[in-house]
This record gives sequence, structure tokens and C-alpha cells, in this order.
Amino acid sequence: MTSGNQCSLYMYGIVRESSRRSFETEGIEGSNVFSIPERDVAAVTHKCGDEPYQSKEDSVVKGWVKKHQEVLDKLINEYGDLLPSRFNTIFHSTDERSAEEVVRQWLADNYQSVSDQLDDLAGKKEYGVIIYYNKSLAAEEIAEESSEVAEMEERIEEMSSGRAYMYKQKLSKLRRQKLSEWLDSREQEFLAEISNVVSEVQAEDLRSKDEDFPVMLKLSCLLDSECEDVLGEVLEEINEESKFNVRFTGPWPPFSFADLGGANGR
Amino acid sequence: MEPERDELIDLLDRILEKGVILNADLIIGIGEIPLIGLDLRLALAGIKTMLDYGLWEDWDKAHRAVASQREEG
Repeated sequence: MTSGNQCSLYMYGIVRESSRRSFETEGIEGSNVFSIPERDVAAVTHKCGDEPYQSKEDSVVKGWVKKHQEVLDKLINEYGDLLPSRFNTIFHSTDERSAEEVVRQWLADNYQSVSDQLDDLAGKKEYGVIIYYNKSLAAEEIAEESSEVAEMEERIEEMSSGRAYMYKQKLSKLRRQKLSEWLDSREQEFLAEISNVVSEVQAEDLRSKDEDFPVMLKLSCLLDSECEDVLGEVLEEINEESKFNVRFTGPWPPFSFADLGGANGR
Repeated sequence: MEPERDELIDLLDRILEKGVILNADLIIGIGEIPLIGLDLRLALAGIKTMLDYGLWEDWDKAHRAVASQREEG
């Protein structure tokens, strides 16, 4: 990876900085981390070869990813805010221009949206929220709440085995339908409670009902870091219900909210 | 509850999938490259992660206890 020419530039993120600096912290594979400024914003980079970092060895990839995050952490300590890059964001040189010139030109072309984003995200951090539900416990609650399900269960017990078989299929369809309605309703309830206490929320559409331990909601939340406790309290209440398990992570740089006016590629 | 930042998987989920990327010709394309090995991809896919990291152990035990009580009762 480090062999060959070092004509490309790996970008960790963008900070509010107007001078060229060399940072004390080491980058990926011991590289020297430095800023490339344009007006009062700067890309934080290291010199690299023109191939992306890739490996089939998980431990190697994990090491690179951790290092990327370490650099971001150091930058956040120093600058407070930044726009984080995705892993492996690498600028390369062209026939006419060096990679550094390409970076500068890119910053100049995108100055307004970069600067606006840094202002918009100032003081805010990203938090991850995943709410898992336990299918069996959910089904128990639905059975307790739904007279329809309970009645059908009772009727089946009194039936002959042939007739019961047909009704069991109906029952299983009814249970699926009730579970889906129940999930929709609880999901909306949680989303509303969480939205009330954060600046912005992004939900990933991934509900899967067939896993043993399915995910009900996966969210990225943007909030002032001093509001972390308030979100924590909302999540605690959800987590206290035995059928839910909440995973709360952060604070992260605003990976899900840094969007340079459509240049984000998502 | 307090947020955690201990698990690498949460970081991977963000750093490999999100963040500012450039879709211009300026950068080296990374979309189609198999960047990571199979174990990590499975981990990112979800369930294996939870089992690997023991997140479900307590919950699953509690759930089994409820189920066996019900059977006994």
C-alpha cells in the first residue's frame, strides 16, 4: 500500500483552518498528517499511493479504520467540529495538476457548501440508536392485547385435528399481521419521542421480521452534545421494556449528516 | 442510558458507509472493490455481530426463562 509513488492524497475530513499545518498525530500506516487550506477551510490529508486501501485481512482493515477514527478524534479535540470523510476518500493527481492542486480546486469549487455545513453542524455530534425487539415477547404481548388472537387460539383447541390445521394457518397469518401493526405503531411512537429531543434524525429502512433478533429501528441522530443525557433518558425508558433492547452509541463525527449539496454520493 | 463507543462494529458501520465522499472524477473509485474480508462483511450484516459481541446473551437467557416457566405453568 505504501509502496510506489505517493502522489495521491487520502482525506480524513475537513476543518475550519486557514493555514497549512503538519499534525503531531500519525495517520494510517504511520503517515504524516497535514492540512491543505483554501481560504478558511482545510482538507486534512496524508500522502498515499494511487490505490485504495484494501485487504482481505479483517485485522488489517480494522487497524486502518481505527486509525482513521483516531485522527478524526484528535481533530475534534482541537477544532470542535469537522466534516468527516468516508474511509478511502483519495484524491489523485491528473496530467495537468498535482493531487494537492486538485484538493485545493475542489475546496475552492465547493467552498460555500463546505463552509455552510461546518456552520450548520457546529457544536453538534452524531449518535447511533438501534432498537431491537424480541419476537417471542412481542408475540406474547400481542396475544394478551388482541382478543381476536386469543379467541382463535381457544377455538383451535376445541377443533378436530384436520380442521385445526387449517385454522392454525389462519392464526399464523393473523399473528403476522398483528405483529406488523404492532411494530408500525411502536416504531412511530419511538420515532416521535426521539425526534422531540434531537436536532435531526435519519432512519434506515431495514426492518426485518424474520431474524431471531430483529431490528425495529436504526437511527442516526444529530444533537448538541449537551443534550446527550436527554436522549439517553428517552432510550432508557424504551430499554426498560423487556421486549426491547436499545443500543446507543456515540458521540461520532457527523458521518450521516455531512452532505455537500449532493456531492455525497449516497 | 449512556452512549457507548467501544465496539468497532459501530464505527465500521459509519466510516465505511457514510461520511463525505466525492463522486467527481477527482477520486479513486471504491464502490466495486471488495475492501474487506468475509467475516467483517457478515459482522456488518447484523446478527452475527450481536451474537459475537454477546449483546443478546442476557436477553436470550431471560427470554428462555420466561418460556420455560410458561411451559411448566
